Amino acid sequence: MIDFLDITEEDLETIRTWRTSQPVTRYQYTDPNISEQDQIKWFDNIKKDTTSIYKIIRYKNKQKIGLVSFTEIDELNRRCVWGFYIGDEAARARGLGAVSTYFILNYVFENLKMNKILAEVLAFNKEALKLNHKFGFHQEAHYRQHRFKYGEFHDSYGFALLKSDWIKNKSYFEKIFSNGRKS
Amino acid sequence: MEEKVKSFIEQILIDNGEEDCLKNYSLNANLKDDLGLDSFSLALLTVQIEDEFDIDVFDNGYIPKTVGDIISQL
Repeated sequence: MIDFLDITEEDLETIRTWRTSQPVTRYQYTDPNISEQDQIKWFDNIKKDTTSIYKIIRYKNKQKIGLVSFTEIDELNRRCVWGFYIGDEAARARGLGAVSTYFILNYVFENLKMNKILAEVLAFNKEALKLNHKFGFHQEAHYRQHRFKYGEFHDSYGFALLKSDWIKNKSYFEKIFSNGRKS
Repeated sequence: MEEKVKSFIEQILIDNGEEDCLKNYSLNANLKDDLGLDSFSLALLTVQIEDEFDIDVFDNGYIPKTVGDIISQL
């Protein structure tokens, strides 16, 4: 149902459109003005960065719907930070953020062989907070006035999921979102 | 058909502990604003409808916003 593709130069304009759209930027730490040149520079930088992986999220083998990032990849401690967004409006409306989360967690623990995945969520991003709880993430931190956005400071929360947590929980999500469904 | 969709929504809201939202149920009820369906709930509802009716209500980029919008696609 969901798979992940390497980013190519042909994707850069789509990513730039997604990243600068209001439904996406409102929950990011920054609201950037990204030029075509900025986007090319960003792509060059991530290609060289050995501690990060960025992938396009694709739905049903045909529709590119968003972007997922794995950053601060720590091979020694087998942990990384993740983030994602669904840039496509129809995909967001049908809950593909939740579906993608299931496949992302499988990818990070099975393909990337991580033991722990971490995320920071802005306190006003209620949808993401619910999603983290739903998938069994533990809140490990509360960062007070941690991000400055829209003219004021906002709290954020640090969430983490261990591979052992995921193994315990994944069968529930597998039944709902597994690859064997009409994909 | 509508009864089946209603039963899916009811069960999701009960599982979420949000039974209170059931009082807002109608064909005109907005899935997010009135029924409080979040990303996970919408994904679950879409999958259940596709399993039951073999129809993807979001096909061709259509974005149903209300219960009635979903029913009209079935």
